[in-house]
Amino acid sequence: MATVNLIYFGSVMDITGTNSETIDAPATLNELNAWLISRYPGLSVISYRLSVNRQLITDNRQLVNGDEIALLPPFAGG
Amino acid sequence: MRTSKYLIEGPIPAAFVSKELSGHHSKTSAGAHACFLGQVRDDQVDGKRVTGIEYSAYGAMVDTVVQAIKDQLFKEFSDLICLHIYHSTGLVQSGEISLVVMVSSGHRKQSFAALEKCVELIKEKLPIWKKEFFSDGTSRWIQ
Repeated sequence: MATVNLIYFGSVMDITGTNSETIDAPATLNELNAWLISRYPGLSVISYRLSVNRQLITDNRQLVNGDEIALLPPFAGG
Repeated sequence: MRTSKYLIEGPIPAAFVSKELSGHHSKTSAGAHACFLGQVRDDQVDGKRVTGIEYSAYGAMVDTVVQAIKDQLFKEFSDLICLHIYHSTGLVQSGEISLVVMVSSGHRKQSFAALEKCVELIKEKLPIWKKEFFSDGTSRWIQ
């Protein structure tokens, strides 16, 4: 089981109530996402993307110890 | 969380822009500097006025994304000499500057084109979020 750091931004942070946490994650990114939605049901009604180690990820992947996973609502810079 | 050299806490002062420009005197191959300043607008939403915007950023990822934007633009615009991006984090009041993009090139045409492309890429790719604050004390995330 991998220990990973989760980081939350923008409207995601309002749902999680914290800006980061460290957890023992399931094996894959898809499983982690499902776990997050069950833990924070509000995530199911908003739009967000996932990054692993500061790269946007659209496919599934194995998680490894020390991964930094961020939940990123739509960007709004400028 | 680690921040980024491209992020500035609070509004970006005019003096900062002036200092940045002054730093370019040594780049004597440049014939054009194009500059974009993004300013917080006092929009009216449902009868409430926007008084300011609070920006938050994923600093470590901003570094990665800005480097990728620079790499893309230097590949696309052969006349480009240098490119600087600065974005605010934290609270910026209406009328204050929250984004500075400076592009230098040998000739004017590529400075204009690269500047516009750079601003569009920032809007699309930079991991930054903003929360609008209204005159009645309420706020909302901009999606």
